[in-house]
Amino acid sequence: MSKQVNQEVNTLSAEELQSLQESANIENFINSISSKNYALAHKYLEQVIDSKLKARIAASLDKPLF
Amino acid sequence: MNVSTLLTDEAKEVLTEGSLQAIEQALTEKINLAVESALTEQDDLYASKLQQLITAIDKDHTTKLKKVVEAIDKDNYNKLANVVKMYEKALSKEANGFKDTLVESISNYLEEFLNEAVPVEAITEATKNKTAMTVLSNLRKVLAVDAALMSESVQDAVIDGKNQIDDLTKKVNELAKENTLIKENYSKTKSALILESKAAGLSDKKREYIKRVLGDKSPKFIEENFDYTLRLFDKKEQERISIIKEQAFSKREVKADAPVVKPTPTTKQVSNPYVTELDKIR
Repeated sequence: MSKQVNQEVNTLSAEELQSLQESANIENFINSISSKNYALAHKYLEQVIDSKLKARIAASLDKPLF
Repeated sequence: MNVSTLLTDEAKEVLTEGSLQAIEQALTEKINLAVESALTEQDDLYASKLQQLITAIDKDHTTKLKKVVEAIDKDNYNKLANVVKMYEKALSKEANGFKDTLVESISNYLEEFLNEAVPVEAITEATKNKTAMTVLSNLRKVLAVDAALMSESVQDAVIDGKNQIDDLTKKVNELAKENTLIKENYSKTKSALILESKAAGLSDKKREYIKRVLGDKSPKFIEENFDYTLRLFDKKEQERISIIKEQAFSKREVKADAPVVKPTPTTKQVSNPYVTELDKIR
C-alpha cells in the first residue's frame, strides 16, 4: 500500500506536489484550531502562506525581465 | 316500617299500642342486622372476585407489555443500525467531501487575502527589481565597473577606450587571417622549391611519383621523408619488375637445353613501419 502511494507521489509533478502539501497543511491547520493548539495552527498557516507566496514569486520570475 | 299494616284486625285489637311499637322496633333491628350481614357477605365476595380479576388483568397486561417492549426494542435496534450505517456513510463520503470543500474554501480565501495584502504587481515589481539588481551586479563584476567608472566624467573615456579596443581587436583578427594565408603560401612555395631542388637529378617517373606523394606536404615533412619515399618507389619498382618476370617465365615454353637461370639472391628487406605507412598512403 505504502509502495503504491510512493509510486503515485513520484509520478506527480512539482505543482501537484505543492498543491497536495498545501492541502495537507490546511487540514493540519484546521485540526490544530479544533484542538485549540494555536501555536501549531500558526505554524501550519505560516507554511501555507509561504507556499502560496513562493508560487507567486516563481510565476513572476518566469516572466522575462525586459 | 309500620307493623299495624302487616297485622290483622283481630291482632290489632288484642295487642296494645306499646306492644305494637315493641314488635315494630324488634323487627326493624332484625331487618337491619340481616341487611348488614348480607352486605358484608356481598362485599367479601366482590372483593375476592375483584382480586382475581385484577390479577388476571395484570398478568395479561404484563404479557402484552413484554411483547410491546420486545417489538419496540427490535424496531429501535433496526433504526439505530440504520442510523449507524448512515453515520458511517456520512463520515466516509460526505465528511471527506466536506473536508475537501472546506480546505478549498480556506485556500481560496487565503488567495484572496494575499491578493489584497500583497498584490501581484508588487510581487512582480519586487522580483524584477531583485533580478535586475542581480544582473547589474554580475555585469559590474564582468565589466569591472566600480564607483569611479560609473561617474559621467569617466564614461566617455571608457566608451572611447572600448571602441578603440573593439577596432584593434578587429584589426588583429584580420592580420591574423592574413598571416595565416601568407604562412600557408610560404609553406607551399617552400615545399615546391625543396621538391624541385631534391628531384632535380631524378628520372621523370620518380619525379612524378615524388610530386604526387609529397606535393601537398609541409617542407619539414618533405625533408624528413624524401629518402624514405624514394626507397619505397625503388622497392615497388623492383617488385613490379619481378612480377612481370614471373609472368613472362610462366607463359614461355620450356626447352630442355635452355640455360638454367639462377635466381639472383634477393636482399632481405628491412621492414620499416614508416615505409609501410607511406605504402598505405600510396
